[in-house]
This record gives sequence, C-alpha cells and structure tokens, in this order.
Amino acid sequence: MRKAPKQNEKFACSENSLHTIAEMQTFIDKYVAWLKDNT
Amino acid sequence: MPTLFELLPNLQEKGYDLTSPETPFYNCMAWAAGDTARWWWPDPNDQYYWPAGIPRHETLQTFILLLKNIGYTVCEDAKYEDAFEKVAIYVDDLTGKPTHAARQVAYGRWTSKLGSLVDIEHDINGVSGRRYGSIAAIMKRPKE
Repeated sequence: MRKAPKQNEKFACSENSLHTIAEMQTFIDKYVAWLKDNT
Repeated sequence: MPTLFELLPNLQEKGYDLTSPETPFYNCMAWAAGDTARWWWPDPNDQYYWPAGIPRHETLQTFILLLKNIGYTVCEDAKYEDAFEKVAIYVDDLTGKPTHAARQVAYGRWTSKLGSLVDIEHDINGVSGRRYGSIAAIMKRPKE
C-alpha cells in the first residue's frame, strides 16, 4: 500500500493522488465538509 | 504543508482566485477539454482516460494532436479574442514533457485544475515555474 501523497505530489497532473481506500475516504470526508460550508 | 504560493511562486505577483474544492476526479487536461468526470492522461498502462486514436505518448505533439481532435488549432499568442477559447500547454523545461494545461476564461484570466488539488483562476504566467515549467503552445477554437 502506498503512503498518502504529500501536498506537492498532488500537483502532478500526470498521476491521480488517490491510490488507497483510506485516501478516498479522507477525500470524501473533506469534500462533504466543504459542501456543508459552501452551500 | 506547502502553500500554493510556495509551490507556484509566480501566483504571488498577480494573485489567484480559488474556484473549486480539492477534487481528484479530473485533472488539468480534462478541465481544459471541459470534462469534470475523468482523469485525462496518456499513461502507458491505460490507467487514465485518453481519447481513442490519439497516441498514448507524453509529448507536446501528442497533446497538440489531442486538442486538434476537439477543434483547436495552434495559434500565435495568448491574447484574449472574444470569439475564441484558448488553451495553453505547459512543458517541463528539462524534459520537454507536458506537465499542465490551462484554459482562458476572460481577458487576462485563465483557469487551471492543479493535479488532484483545486481549480484556480490566475494570470497565464501564474502557474509557470519549476513545477509546471513553461508554456510551449497556445491553441484556440471558436466559442460555441
């Protein structure tokens, strides 16, 4: 399992930063929080 | 954790506007092409979307061919033209490989999806530098 990507690695347009279920869950949690704050 | 200014220092001069939350579902090439559902990149393992018939090579020529396939032609400059939309392709200064694409949205303003991070609006040179390199081609197509 890959370690979570660093912020600067997330800048790469050539490779999606989501490689694991844990990364996907973290992203979904942050996205839902953003939607609550902005809608 | 580095800030946008640390990673893209040219943004400091003319600033930027944040226009989306962090989303890993699409990248700069998808955004330039108007697609927010897929990650566009010609990786050799077929992991990401790339239109059929366009070679899966990470070269400037391939990216130009991709944009020609959706109606763009290479043009002289990034000057705003009301009847056209434009896309800038950035390449690594050492390898010449494409790194990024930005789409013009208004006079002097461009929109970029930064990898798996956020969308921003910025000056065309705001994302140039060590990370995304330099602009290698500007292309345009008539607005619909």
